[in-house]
Amino acid sequence: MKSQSTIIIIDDQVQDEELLIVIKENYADVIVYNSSTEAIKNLSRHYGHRIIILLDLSFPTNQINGHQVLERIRESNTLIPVIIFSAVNENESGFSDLINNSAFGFLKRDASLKQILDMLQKAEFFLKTSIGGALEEWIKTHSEEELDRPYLVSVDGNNFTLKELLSEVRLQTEVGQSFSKSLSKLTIDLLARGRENLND
Amino acid sequence: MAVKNKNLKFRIDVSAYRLLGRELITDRITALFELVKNAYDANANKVDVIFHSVNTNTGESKISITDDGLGMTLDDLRNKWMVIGTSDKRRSRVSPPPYNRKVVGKKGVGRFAVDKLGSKLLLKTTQKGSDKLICLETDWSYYAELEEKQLKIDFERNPDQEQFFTDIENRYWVEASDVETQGTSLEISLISECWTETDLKRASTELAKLISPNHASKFPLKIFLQSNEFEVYRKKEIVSLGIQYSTIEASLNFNFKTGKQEILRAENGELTKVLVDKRACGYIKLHIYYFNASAKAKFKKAFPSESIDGIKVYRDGLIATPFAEHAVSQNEQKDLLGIDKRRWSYFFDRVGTRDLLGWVEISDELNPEIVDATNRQNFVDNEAWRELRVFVIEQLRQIEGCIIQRRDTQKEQVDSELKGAGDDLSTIRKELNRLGKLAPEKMRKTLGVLEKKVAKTQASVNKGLKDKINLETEKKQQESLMFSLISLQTFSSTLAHITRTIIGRIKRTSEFFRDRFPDTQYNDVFKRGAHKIFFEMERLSGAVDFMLKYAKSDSSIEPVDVKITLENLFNNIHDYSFKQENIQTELIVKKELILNYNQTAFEDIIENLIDNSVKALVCNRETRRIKCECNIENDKLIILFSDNGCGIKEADKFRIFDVFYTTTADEGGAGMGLFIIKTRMEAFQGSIELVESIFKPSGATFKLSFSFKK
Repeated sequence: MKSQSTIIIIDDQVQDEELLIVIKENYADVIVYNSSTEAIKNLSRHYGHRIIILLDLSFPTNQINGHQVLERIRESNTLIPVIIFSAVNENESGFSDLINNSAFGFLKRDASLKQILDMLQKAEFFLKTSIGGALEEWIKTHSEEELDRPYLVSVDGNNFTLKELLSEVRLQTEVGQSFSKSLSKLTIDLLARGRENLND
Repeated sequence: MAVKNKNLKFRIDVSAYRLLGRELITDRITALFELVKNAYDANANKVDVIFHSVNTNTGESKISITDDGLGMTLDDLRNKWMVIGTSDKRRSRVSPPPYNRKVVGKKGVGRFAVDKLGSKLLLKTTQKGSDKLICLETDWSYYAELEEKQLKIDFERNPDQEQFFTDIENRYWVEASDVETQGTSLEISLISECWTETDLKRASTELAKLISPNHASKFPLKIFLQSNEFEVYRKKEIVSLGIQYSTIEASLNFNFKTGKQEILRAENGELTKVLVDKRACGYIKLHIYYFNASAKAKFKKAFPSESIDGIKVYRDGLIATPFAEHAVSQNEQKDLLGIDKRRWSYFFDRVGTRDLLGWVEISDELNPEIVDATNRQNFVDNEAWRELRVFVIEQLRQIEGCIIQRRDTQKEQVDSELKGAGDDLSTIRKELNRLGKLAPEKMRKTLGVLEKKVAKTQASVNKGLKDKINLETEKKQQESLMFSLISLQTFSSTLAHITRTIIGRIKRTSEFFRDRFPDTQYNDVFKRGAHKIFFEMERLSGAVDFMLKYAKSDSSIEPVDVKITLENLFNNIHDYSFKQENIQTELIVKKELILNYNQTAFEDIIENLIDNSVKALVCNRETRRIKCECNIENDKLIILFSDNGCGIKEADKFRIFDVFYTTTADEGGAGMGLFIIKTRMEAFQGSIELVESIFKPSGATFKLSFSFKK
């Protein structure tokens, strides 16, 4: 069965027909951006889905480079796994900012199809199991109507709908972080009391 | 909830005295500087810096700084001295006439320097025509005590009743004074550190640097240092150091009317001056002295307490604050101009701060954008300051060029003298031989011995000469190897990038083949894949061939087919990057041309030009073009190499061929390219110059000329 995650490839020179074929065999939706600038413009519209990004580092000099793309993504979203797919030497100084901007993984340009698929699978597993991912999944089970209704009132008196809450979580704001924290505390508490089934 | 508008105001904690004094002014000699600067701004003719019993810290220890400047009224004291960051000096940038000194204290915090020297200050000041001497006492230790008290945890304390910096009252009183006298004296007691004779020596050396020796003034400021403990400093006038014994000296000026700035050019071992347009840093005056090893020795002997310690910036004749920061040892001295930071200093005959003494003269009026950073440790990093650094380094490079040229001439001279000596010896030997035949028996024997000795000496001289030449050739080869390695480095990282990409494509295509074949739905994919593998393999082969050429010896001269070489570079090797950057190329080689040259060197030259053009084209958003045209003119191959990129600024025209000069550091330029080209061309009696761009108004065109002769 195909995975429901969307794979977004940002690469100016994907000439790999075979790579696209195997990814499409495994994932329902594959989107390719040949220009990094174009990608940045449109990326936010995919944030509502579960997405994994495969990112090249070198782009023509009139476009922004991969490091900057990652930086821009991280400005608004800290949850999406971004895999670097590049021929740039990993020891080069730029690599440190990949760590700072928490790239999910690094694939060398001469990686095999299998290595690429394995890495995508790992990223998907991460998406499904991380608190952020689980939370996102849970929030998405609500109806549109529920999403627009005030759901939570924060300490300083602000109202949040589920939609707003999701955006707070994604942006890792103070409210988003504290909400995630409380949620995991609650989970542990529930589990400790023997209520394994969280849907109860 | 309705919120009513209310106002809050800033208050200043008592600890501010530390921020402004002890922590802003990092060492005590800088503190002295600040106080002497205040005297300068007050039109003083003379400042006495008196150290009283400071060798050991006793109740008697005092430092006083007394000037004969304009002095202050009680109002001045209240509204200027006691106001932090007072704007008075910023409003009028010139001290009262007839002195018209450019005021140097601008931040209005110099007076807090006192705290660095000692915790108690007694200020006495009077103006001409006044019979009042106003005295003010400030006790910084009281501020410290209060700070200490406030830091203690006290649950009873009421923050609203706490005293702030500005709440503390300083006592003042009035004494009688002579109507004729004027000036201000600062007496600092409860000194914070002892001063040894070495410390005073340092203070004296550093204070000497305060004023530029090249700035002529009708009203100079004299500084005297006095001490009751050390004989040398009974009353010593501080004079700016005299420059003697330098190996090379140069002075640069500018012409305000024509908007031109002088810069240095090294030609045949001499420095000449060329006029160029004003640089972004504004007009600069520069006095620079270079000392070689023997000159340095002489200098040290003549001025034991002075040191050759680099180039400093003076603003309106007075040392600029960042340079006024005193460092205990030369090793810790900051290299604000970046003179010693230049790489490979041993390799390219670099001069360093310890070989140089220099005064860069700027002024508030002509270089307004060069501003001290608030921490006083550096200048604000802006275009003007960066350009000033470039300007200084550029001049140093010319001095370096001059030194190399002189040494080369000297080397030639030595070579020819050695050769002459060898020839002379040969003549003497022949003469001895002839004499031997004529001389009587007894003498013949002695002459024979002499002749043998001469022969031996001649042999050693010849051998010495040969060794020397061999050694030089070897050194040249090493240098040339170094250059190839540097370009090889950039080249190999690009190559690795391309290779890895190609390998990846081949690998995945064949992997797909392995796992899926046969499968009719993918028949077309398989076929395209096979083609792709073949095509990528061809590209790899080409890259390997090119790489291998670097392994070949570097010095052989061989027939170079210009057409084939250029076509290979344009259509194969760089095709990839041209496509990636959307660059249109145009290569015009009318017929087949054979040049007797070195293949690698020729490729290197064109490679570097292509590289530069690609970088220069980054800024071009329209159609990007590179054009390379070959022609024959009087036994010479002329290549015109052009791009329609950002072009070369008028100001840069003279320095683009300098090593490590780069304007494209952001694109990875190391400033090697044009330098490599120039050395490579010159090694084969060729030349390169910048001519009018064929794509004007933008772009750049280089004219390369190669000789067809061997």
